[in-house]
Order: sequence, then structure tokens, then C-alpha cells
Amino acid sequence: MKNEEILVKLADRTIKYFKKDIELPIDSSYEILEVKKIDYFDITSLITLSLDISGTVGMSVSNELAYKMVENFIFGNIEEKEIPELASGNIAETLNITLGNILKELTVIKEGGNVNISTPYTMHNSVSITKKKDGIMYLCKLKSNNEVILLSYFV
Amino acid sequence: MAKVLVVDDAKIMRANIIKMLDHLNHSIVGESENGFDAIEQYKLLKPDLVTMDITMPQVGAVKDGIEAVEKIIAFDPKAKIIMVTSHGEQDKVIQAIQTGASNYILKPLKVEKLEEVINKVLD
Repeated sequence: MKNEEILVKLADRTIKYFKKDIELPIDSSYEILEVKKIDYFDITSLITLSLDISGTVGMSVSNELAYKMVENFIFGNIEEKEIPELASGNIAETLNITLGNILKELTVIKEGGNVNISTPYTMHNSVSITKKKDGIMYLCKLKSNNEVILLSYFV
Repeated sequence: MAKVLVVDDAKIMRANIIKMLDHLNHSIVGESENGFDAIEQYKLLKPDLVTMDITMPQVGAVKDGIEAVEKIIAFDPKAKIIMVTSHGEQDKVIQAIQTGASNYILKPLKVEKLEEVINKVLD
């Protein structure tokens, strides 16, 4: 598996998720960048992969986008006061769903490998993570109107 | 109208399923955020149907949704349980069905699909 494969497939699935599942606008184009540091936004969910794939996959968005995602994820109407407390859980669930959807498409898994997926860990407030000395770190920015969905993968 | 127990560690998933069930005129008799609590609630509430997440944090001796299914079926072999899962968990779904779950539904949920699966299970 090329190092960035997981992020390419996750970006494609996230675009589909925005367009079809929660019906929010999103640009279809993106770039995968190898970086040394990631500056996350207000809400960030991380899932750790182990066994034949190792590393940590992340999804990070602003509070504003997280709130819109909740409104569109929830069936029917939702009271405005309910939205903030559901926002971080929704980012975790979004990453869980999209990552779960693409794992079987990864070369390593198609070739018979196994992967263990952790329960999501969610961080609040803007935090930065710096690449380890021998690590790898990739970043992908997807655009939804004026907002950015930041996907990351690091080992 | 069925009495339903909703089990998921994610509050947003429980909220979403509850809104869908409400729309479908079912009655929500309880919510649980782990398998251990789900077993206790099942014994207490005797729901007609359970929606059960597969991957949840271990609480007590109950590791996940599959172990909760096993223990609920041991208590009530006729229990009707729908597993709520994502695409990447096919192996776990098979395990849950073998353990006694009635059917499954994939995330992200659509109300039409939920209705279809509930009707199949309750029939």
C-alpha cells in the first residue's frame, strides 16, 4: 500500500458522504500533501489502525461546519440548543463510518491483511501535531463552501 | 407499533435512530450506551425490538454489541435484534447473526431502509 492510499480513498468517500448522505456542498478536487506538522481545527476525531496497517487517521472541522453536519445528519428537525453537544460525536461517527467503508478497498486488506480499528478519540480546540523523526504525515483539505474538512494520516 | 430499545455508544446515533423510530410510530422504551447496560435494560423493559451497535467500549464483562446479543438471546431466545453497522464490519455482522441477531442495517442510516428491516424482523 502506498502511504497516501488510505487518505485518497478516505477523501473520495468523504466527498460522497457529503454529497449523498448529508447533502452538503463539497468540491470534488483535492490534493494529498506530505507535511511535517498538522494544525487541527475546533473539533478533531482520531482513529488508530493496527495489525497490518498502522497509523492514525484524523478528521477535523470548525465548529460551524460541525454544526451544519449535525443538522444534515439528523433525521427530521433538531432544536438549535441540541446541536453543540452532538457535534463532536458526529465528527467521530462520520470518521468511523467513512473509514469503516473504505478499509476493505485498501490493497493490504484485499491481499488478505487484517486491520483493527480503534474507537474514535475526539479532541476539542485547535491543536497541532508534529511529525515524529522517522514518521510519515499526510494531509488532505476538502472544501465545503468556505469551510475546510481536514483529513490526516500519520504514523 | 413496537417497543424499541436503542443501543449505541454514540449519542448522535441514538438521537438519529430515535427520531426515525418516532417518525415510524414506534415507541422508544429505553436507551443504552453499552452492551452491559443493554442487557440489564432488556431484562427490565422486555422490548419488542432492539437496535444494537456492534462496536462499543467494553463495560463489565460485555466486550461489544455481539456479546450483548449473545447474553440477551440466552435470556430470551425469541429476542429480535437489529445490528447497526458500517460496511467494514461484515465479519462481525455474520458473527452477530450466528449469535442470534435477526438482521442488520448499514450506517449511515436511511429511514426507508430502517422501516424495511424492522418490518422484516417483526413479521
